[in-house]
Amino acid sequence: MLLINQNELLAEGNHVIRTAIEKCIQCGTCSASCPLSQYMDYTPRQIVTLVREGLIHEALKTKTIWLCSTCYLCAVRCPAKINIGEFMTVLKRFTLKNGYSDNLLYPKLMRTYVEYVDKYGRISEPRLMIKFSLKINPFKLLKMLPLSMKLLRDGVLSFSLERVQNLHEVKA
Amino acid sequence: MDRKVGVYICHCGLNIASTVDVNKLTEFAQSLEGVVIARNYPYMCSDPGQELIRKDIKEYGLTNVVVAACSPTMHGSTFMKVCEEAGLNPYMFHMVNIREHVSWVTDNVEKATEKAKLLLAAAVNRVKLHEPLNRIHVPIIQSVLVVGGGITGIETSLKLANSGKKVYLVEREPSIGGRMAQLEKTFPTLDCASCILTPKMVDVASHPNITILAYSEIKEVSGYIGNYKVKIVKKPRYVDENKCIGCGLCATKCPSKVLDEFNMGLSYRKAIYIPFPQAVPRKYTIDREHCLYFTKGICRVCEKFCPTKAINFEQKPEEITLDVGAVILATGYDVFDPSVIKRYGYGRYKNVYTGLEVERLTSASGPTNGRIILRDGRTPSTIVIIHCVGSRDENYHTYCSRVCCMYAMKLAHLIKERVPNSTIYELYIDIRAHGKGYEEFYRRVQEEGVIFIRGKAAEVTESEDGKLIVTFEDTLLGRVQQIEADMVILATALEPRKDAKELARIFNIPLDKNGFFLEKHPKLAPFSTVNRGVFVAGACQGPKDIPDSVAQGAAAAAEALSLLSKGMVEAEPVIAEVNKSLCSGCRICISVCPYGAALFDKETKTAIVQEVLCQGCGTCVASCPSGARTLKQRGFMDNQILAEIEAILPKRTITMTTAIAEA
Amino acid sequence: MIGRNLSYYPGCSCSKYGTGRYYGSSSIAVLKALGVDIKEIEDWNCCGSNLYRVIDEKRAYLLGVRNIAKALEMNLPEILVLCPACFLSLNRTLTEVSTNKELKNELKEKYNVIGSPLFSKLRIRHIIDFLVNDIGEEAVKNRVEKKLEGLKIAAYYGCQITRPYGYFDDPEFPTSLERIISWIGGQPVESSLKTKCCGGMLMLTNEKEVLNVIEKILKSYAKVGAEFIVTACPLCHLNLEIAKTRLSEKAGLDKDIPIIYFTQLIGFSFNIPIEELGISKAVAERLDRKIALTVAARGEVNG
Repeated sequence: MLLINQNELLAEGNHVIRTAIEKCIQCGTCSASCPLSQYMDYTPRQIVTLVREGLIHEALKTKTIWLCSTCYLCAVRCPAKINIGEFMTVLKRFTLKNGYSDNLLYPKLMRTYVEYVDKYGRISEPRLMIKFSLKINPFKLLKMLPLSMKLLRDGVLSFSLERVQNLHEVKA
Repeated sequence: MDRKVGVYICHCGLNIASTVDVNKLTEFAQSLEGVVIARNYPYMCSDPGQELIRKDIKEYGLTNVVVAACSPTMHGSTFMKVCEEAGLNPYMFHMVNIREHVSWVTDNVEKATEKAKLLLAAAVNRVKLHEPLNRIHVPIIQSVLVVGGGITGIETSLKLANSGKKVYLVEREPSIGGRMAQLEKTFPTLDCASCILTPKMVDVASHPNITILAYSEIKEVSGYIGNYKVKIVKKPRYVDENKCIGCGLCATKCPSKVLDEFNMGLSYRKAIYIPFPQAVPRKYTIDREHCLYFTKGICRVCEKFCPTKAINFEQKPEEITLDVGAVILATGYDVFDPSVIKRYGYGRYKNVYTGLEVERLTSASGPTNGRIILRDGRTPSTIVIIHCVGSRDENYHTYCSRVCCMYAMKLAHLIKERVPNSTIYELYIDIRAHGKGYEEFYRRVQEEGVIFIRGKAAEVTESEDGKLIVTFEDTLLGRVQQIEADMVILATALEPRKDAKELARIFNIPLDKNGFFLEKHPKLAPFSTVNRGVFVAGACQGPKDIPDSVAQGAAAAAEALSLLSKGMVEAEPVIAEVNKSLCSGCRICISVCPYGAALFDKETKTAIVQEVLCQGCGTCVASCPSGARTLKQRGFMDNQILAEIEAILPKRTITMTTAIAEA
Repeated sequence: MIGRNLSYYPGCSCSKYGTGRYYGSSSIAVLKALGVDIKEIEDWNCCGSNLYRVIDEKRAYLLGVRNIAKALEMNLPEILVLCPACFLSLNRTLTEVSTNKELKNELKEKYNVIGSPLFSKLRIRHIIDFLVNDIGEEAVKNRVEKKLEGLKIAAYYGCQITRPYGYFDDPEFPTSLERIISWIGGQPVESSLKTKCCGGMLMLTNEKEVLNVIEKILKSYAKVGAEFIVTACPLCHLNLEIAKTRLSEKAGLDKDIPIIYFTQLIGFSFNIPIEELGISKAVAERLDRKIALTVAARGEVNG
């Protein structure tokens, strides 16, 4: 088991992690506000507990962090003014840096996204979806076909992409 | 005159000694010019510590004393008294703060010791220039102003009045009684609130030493400890208090209905009213904003029916001036308005209540005669009480409001008593049952079947059939849960009165960071304020339950009594002084003095300082165009301050001329 | 009219080929009709969204800053943004650059405009904020040619417009869109879940869970009798569209309930050609029919 101490995590996102560790009163407002918490293996409050108690490797292996859609309802409600959404973002980043969760879908999506941005400076959502779907489950594309056709008809969907002209500026 | 200085260094246990090398500091002190004796001791403020100083003063014939210890606010007066007891003028003493200014702000022993040395040298330099000063004595007026007629103000007034002092009890509302009058029962003993409050209200009304000034507000205060002049505005009731017999015929005939604030808007009263049946004084009041005569120029029905002809639409605000020796503020609290936490739906969903609203529902004299009936007429069967609404929340109030856990449990008990089949949930973060009998009450309520769940409600929504859905995480299960409830009660926080700031300005006292009146010291002077003749008691100083409020009310009365019974007040001599032979009479000092202490003397055509009014702030001294020899600040003379600076900055020679030139 | 100048950051979604292209085109058309000239930031790039920040925080800020710098070079102190995700990340970038001295100094070397007086005045404005607080009721009302009478319109804000940088409205219970709806003659109906998250990008990775979340949202719209839903976020819009075909009936909504951008609806009331707004003929007909019905019903009552 990879042992990680709090200091390493603090180095990743000092302010928000420290605030969570120091100020959380374990009231559960975040968990009960989260639209996706019912699908999580740990509630957001419990993730704070894990981190606070130094069980960071356990926190990094949860589904919870990848189910956070950063809608920040928790953040605006938290009575200790902890930005839980941001807390989850830091955990996600830290997880990827430490080699956990590489086989999960969400990190794959993010990597595909970043590849696109790095290559073109912008993204095309339809292209991103296709590329991502091909990576994980090509059959899914078939399922999406009827809607895609409708959207194409409505002129909503387009596969063109305008790339950034001065790409070197983006890369630098 | 040859100065013989004694230096006393306090360890303050380990507070100072762990960071400042007290032995080195003592050695250093001993080497300073004029110092005849330097000592250190674990607790200089203790009896043996004080005795050390007293003995030395006599033995060595000390002319000056320097104590290096904590803040002078803490123990300055202690050591001044020690000097006085040993026959030394207390103003020949100076104190250095090597705790808050040195040991508490660093872990570096070497640097801390260095800084302590500099501060000590400065103090020794300065103290040698001290001159004896004599305190000013002024007689104290033997009456007290109590502001606020709630349980705290009532208790305070009775204690003072029973000790033979004259009390003026000022209350803003038409009746005294305050918040407690709105309560049904009190935790944890479940005494009927009215049964224990009403007799005290009657005692106040009938006490020969108490004058109640109800429906009145403080307008202005001037003067100083022992001699305050207070201007009070008595608002017009439009009813002659001397004629009104409280029969209530006017209210029965009055056609104008108004939401009843005493019942938290859950019922109606008339435009002419008494707030509640046991009101003291039992005198009716016309609510000008809702009276048909005042709003539309019609009606005057009350006037027609009043048997004693007490109605007087021409009544004007009346200004009353009182002379008092001390003031006790007992203005209580406001209830946090939960409608700002929109997700709890207060104001949007009719069955979401505040604690105080439910308190009125449970009251036998309340809008439902004590029956628990919702706004839609139903009796609730599932009730959720949400704790910490507006408290322990950095978006609203960070403090714990102290009484909410207990009153939430009391409400649960009362509802259970009235609706035995109901299911009641308490959603709490932590239960704070800290008082005598409180934990036992918590157990009792749990035994009565109230269900306690650890988790803060995240939101209240409405289901299709109009039930309230409360969503929360049961933090002990680690699971998000929902309860379908008929009634939601918000245990709202206590907060400072909306006009606390204004009152604090009038009485010249500070507020704490939450907006409550700031006590002088939380432990050593919890009823005093920095304004020496003004005391605070009850929830205006911070959230408090009834036992604590009553205790503090009595304690504040004792503080005021001990002041009054001295007969004379000692005023600090560390104040401004005019050298009349140099004063040109330009009057600038008079315009800048915030206390009205500087006056112009027509005879001599110079400024004079009224000693008892001067607070020694130094504003006038700084403003005097002809310099500090004309207008002097005793205890802070230029030579004294420059002597301190010279010791701290030894490498540069600062003379008065260079300092002034540079300034 | 107003004559205000703002720079405009379309972001990937609302640009020419993005899924929210009609959010973009209708916004431009509506602002033009209101006399506001917006200038697209030249050669803009990805905002450095939350997705990017998870992989590389620093680089996400660098991406964001390039857009900010380009806007400042146009000498315009306000950037208009439509996409809430872009609004969030540009605001976060601005906050970070303003407060993180190290980053600011590094960027000052790269872009002259960072640290300039204009930089300290820079504001990232969401189009809702701009319409409600700068343009205002009177100007919008004056421009309305077709009042949307009798239309029960429900706004879906989604999450990131007001959170955590929603300084122009309440983070949970905003009312800006309802105000706009009433200005153009519609009858706003409010769902209690109007700022609950649609699941965002998780639609691609956790479809089942996200559809459950959206079902709840759609139900809340059915409960208040919504006949039209307006959105203000390209991602919300796409997710609702995806969910609509499968869930509308289950949620008790008309399966063809039109979901359009609020700017499209404003444009419709301004009588801007539907092709420019990207409103389909079917939706336009439905809107017209509904208005005609209301007018007719009123005539009957009066007659």
